[in-house]
Amino acid sequence: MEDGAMKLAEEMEAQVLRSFAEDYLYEAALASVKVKATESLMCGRMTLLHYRMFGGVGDDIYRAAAAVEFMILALDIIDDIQDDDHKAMPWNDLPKNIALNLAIAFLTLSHETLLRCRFPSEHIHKAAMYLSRQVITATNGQTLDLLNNIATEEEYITMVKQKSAALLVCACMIGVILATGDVSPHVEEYAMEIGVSAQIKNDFRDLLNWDHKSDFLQRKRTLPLLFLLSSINQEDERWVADYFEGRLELSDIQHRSEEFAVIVERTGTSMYASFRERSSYYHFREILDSMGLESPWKQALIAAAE
Amino acid sequence: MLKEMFQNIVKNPQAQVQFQSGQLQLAGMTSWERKALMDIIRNEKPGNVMRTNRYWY
Repeated sequence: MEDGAMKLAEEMEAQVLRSFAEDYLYEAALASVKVKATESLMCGRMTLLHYRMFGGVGDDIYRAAAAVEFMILALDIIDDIQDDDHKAMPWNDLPKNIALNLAIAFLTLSHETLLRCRFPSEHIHKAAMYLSRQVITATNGQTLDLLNNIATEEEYITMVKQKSAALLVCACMIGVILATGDVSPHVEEYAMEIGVSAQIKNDFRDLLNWDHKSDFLQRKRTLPLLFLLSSINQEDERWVADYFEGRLELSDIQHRSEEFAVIVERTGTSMYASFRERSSYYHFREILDSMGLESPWKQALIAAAE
Repeated sequence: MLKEMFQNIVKNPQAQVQFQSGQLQLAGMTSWERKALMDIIRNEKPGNVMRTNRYWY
């Protein structure tokens, strides 16, 4: 693990050690943080990167990055409870009522950790306000996702911007605010595009993965699926729409995953998903290029966003 | 609108050639959408990115 990753993971574990007095909850919290540390810690990294990009110095930013990761962890746990998903995660070994308790603790720890950072108080205040606002925005987006009644691509983009993209914007902006005391509209805009690009990529992957989490089998309305459904025009493809609209059951179609993959290709769905994902990525790149950042930070951001 | 433009281009080899040569202008498509579409037509991956593991600061 890189030095920076290790520092962030250590900060998270230190906060868990000082916060969870009850052994059962402490062990659950520690296991959750350790699993999180084996993943990309993308959001915490974005906080660190943006702090440095905007002139921030010193190591106190690791505590703020830990605060961001606690927020993400809390929402991940809640999302898994809501979706009944990600069975391999340690919080899924807990009774749901305890897992929910753990999520509440992490969300609150996120705010407390940020408030305990050693930055100018007005910077802390602004960052805490921003974090709160983005979590509320994300819950609005999550509501749209759970209702699963989006009908158009525009509604999908709106939902994604509120849900997952808002959290990435939050991570980036916390770093900017702590470094400068203010938000950056450019960062807000490009972070949103990175988030949208990532979500489209995830949704396309989940479309084809019938073994684990298939948006199609769950009849989840995503951009790739909306495009697929609008592109079906051959008789041998009709079963896809029939299943999605409830006229067929899972048992009628669960053996047809290879056929489904062929239809996804034939209708141009994979190309379209790639086109939309890349469009957002290139929009991010155009905004970034317009900012005139020094090369090491720009390349680091591009690498982190890939 | 964007979806329809995309579908018209990818299903029409002549339009793809015209788009690549700059003869076909797609009104309403942004610069980043045109770039992405060019990637798709050429079956390319985004940019020459200097990949690095060093993004801890």
